[in-house]
Amino acid sequence: MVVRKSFICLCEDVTVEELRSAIRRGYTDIEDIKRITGIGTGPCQGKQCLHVYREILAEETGVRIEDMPLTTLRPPIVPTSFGAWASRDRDQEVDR
Amino acid sequence: MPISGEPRDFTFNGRTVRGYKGDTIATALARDGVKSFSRSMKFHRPRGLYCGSGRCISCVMRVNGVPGVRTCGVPLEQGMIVQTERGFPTTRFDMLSVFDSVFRRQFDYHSRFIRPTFITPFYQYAVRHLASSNRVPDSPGVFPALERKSCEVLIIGRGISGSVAQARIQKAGVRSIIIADRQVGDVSAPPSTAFGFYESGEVGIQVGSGLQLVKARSILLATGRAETGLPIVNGDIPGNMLPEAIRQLTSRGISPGARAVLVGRNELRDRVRRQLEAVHSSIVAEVQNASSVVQVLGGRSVKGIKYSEGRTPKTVRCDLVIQLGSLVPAVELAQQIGCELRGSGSFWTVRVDAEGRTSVPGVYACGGITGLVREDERISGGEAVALSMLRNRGGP
Amino acid sequence: MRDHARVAIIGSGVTGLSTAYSLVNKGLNDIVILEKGHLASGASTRNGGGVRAQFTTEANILLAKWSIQRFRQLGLELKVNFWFRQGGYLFVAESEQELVALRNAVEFQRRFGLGTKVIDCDRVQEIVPYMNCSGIIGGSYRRGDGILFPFPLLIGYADFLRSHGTAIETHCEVKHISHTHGEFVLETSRGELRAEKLVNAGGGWSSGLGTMMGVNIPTRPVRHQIMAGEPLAPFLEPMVVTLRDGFYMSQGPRGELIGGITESEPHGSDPGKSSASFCEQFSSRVVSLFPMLSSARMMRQWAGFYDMSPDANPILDGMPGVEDAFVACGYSGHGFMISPAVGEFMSCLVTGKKPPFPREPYKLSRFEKGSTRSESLVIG
Repeated sequence: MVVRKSFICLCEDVTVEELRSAIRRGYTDIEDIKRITGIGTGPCQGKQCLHVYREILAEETGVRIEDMPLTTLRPPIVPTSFGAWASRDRDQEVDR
Repeated sequence: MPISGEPRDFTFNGRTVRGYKGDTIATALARDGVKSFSRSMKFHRPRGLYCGSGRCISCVMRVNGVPGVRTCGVPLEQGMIVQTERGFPTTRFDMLSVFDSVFRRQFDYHSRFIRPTFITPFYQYAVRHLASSNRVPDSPGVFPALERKSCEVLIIGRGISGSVAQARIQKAGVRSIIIADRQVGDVSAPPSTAFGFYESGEVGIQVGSGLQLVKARSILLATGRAETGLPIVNGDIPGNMLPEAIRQLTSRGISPGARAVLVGRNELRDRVRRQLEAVHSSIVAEVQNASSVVQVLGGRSVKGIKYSEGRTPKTVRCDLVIQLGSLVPAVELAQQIGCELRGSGSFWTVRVDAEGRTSVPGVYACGGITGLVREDERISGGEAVALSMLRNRGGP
Repeated sequence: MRDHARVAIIGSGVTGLSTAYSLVNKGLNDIVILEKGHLASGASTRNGGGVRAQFTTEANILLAKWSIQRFRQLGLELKVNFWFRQGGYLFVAESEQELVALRNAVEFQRRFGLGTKVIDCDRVQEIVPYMNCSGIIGGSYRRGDGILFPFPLLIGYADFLRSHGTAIETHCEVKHISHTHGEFVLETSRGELRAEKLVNAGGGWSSGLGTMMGVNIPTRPVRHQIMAGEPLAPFLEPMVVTLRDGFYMSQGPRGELIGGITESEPHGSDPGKSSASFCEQFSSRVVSLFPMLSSARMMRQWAGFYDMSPDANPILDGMPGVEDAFVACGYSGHGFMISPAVGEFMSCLVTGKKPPFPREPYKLSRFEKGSTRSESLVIG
């Protein structure tokens, strides 16, 4: 059996409990807690967790969800290979 | 996407597995009964096919020597070499899952391993090697050349509203159109995913394994809404899935599980029910309020779920938990472009005027990302914005 | 928000936090830090975490060397792990001219007791097995340099400061500063603060703050972009830097690739925006230096400001003509790595003690006097 855990961020294995600990330490800003816990900083870059993160953060800090901002959603929205960026000119076959 | 019957054999951790033309790597593995696709970063908990749309990393594996591949989005090809990357000695039986037992509630690694200092180098070495086991790719890859293109209209997203808009614009004779559509898991056409808006005004689009940078006179954002999961206890282990993963399996005739429990409630519920029915999966319970869930039961995969119905605690045996979480407007590109966002309930949506124009000249938006939910509204919205774009041709 | 403090620090980046930390340790704890964004929202939460002492000016070497020693102890003091890994910095030369520059740099560094070595191509290959060394003719390497993870250190400082009575007011922008009757009056977006002493730790905004006080601070914010790649198992020990184009890359504590490059094409100035040309230029270098990484992937691109000073050495000084006002800025891309020394330096200035470093190399007046030696190892 796995140990009972509920996750806010699957990429970085951040549990809801860890999020609550950060809030108990006195942090409430969505950007600060992101950096303390690592929520949204893994390979999916917050795609799976941002909405639930906003909801839980709003609930735990007493802020209205309408007032809970998004974090900055930077490019690339999906990971892009260095080779694809660097590839020039020559006709090349796709290699997997 | 029907399976044509043409077999495509590949190796998975050294053993040969049969898949078919039309499979993705993930669906072929699921058909074969594979549940543990990877192990999580800190606790080494098993993870399996979860979102089905390339928006998480639960299904990630090493494919043909390239690490970190989202197997739910890769069409299966004959002879592919697929390997799991995390877990010692194997992903299925991972001794490092002891971390799950040792760190029972959380693992904040920034507050650990601080003393004694003489052990610091060993801690760092251990943690670095445990954090990621994605080995450097085996060989240099070969990629199509980066292409720069320009066009009159760029439509990003071909869901309900995007496809209506596209049809209307093409009918009016506009030729210079580029369409980007993710189509994850649909192997009929190569997916083209718009991944970024850059300072030059170019939109980056990933087409197959290559990239294009597209400069368009007008852009229509029709990126729709994305599925999200629910933070229920043990909602991360294999057997937990989002509706898109269900769609990918059932559309290929694969049963995601024999006994399903639906948790939460969103507009996809009826579609999910129909899809499960088509593959003879039974729905053994529906828990509309996710907060009623006490925990999902299971070790390497889902075995049951405990929840409360009113005051009554219930435990139901199941092998599939479908999380019907919020459908969230996909505003990433809009945010990068600088379009003003507007709150709508708990979501941020793209603010548009009656003509579908965003706050940025030349950029339009329609459908789910503007906060529309009802299908008829999204369809009419697609029509309306197309007409607006046609009217404004030659100007912003 | 408090309306009075003995010391007001503008900027909650690593400079402001480190300065406050040093002040508290000196027994002065009536401090308010004013921050216009979220905690450390400027360069401090945007940098790649590189830590080196390989510089070409005494001004930088003294601060960096001292700071590296302090980084080894700070974790214990603050009870945080910021993953300071001394895996070395490897500068590589791809031309004779560059190799000569590195040799000169190493000779200069050795005068300060740094054990930097000039190494040949074979040794470079040994240190970085995955690198394509065909264009590389040599390099410089110092094992004691390394990389850290900024966030836990910043949070560690903030936790300590808050528990010792320092107020950190975020989302609080300074709009106006006046100095009357021996007191500073700061008008902010969240109210007024009066303070006896003032430290301008404004990073890329330091010059603007100086202007508010009638002081000319000749630094300017220059945007530099940076990217993170998907995590990989450890394969890259040092931070690798090329002289030709300021390309740098290393692996963070989770195995993620972190790196940047000095952009050749004219670039924008908004850190909130990203350019495709950066991705192209950076990726070309990655692929030519590390061919195996062509299938590795970029997962995020962002940017921040280098506060560039005319000679790329920091400005650590009182603000001329304004008593009890001090400025710490101009780090030109290497502020985080010298922050422990800067904090100590500034806390000495504020409390009237003698800093453990010479004053002259960091004075504002050096630019007028023309007595500056320029730092040449500015990367990224």
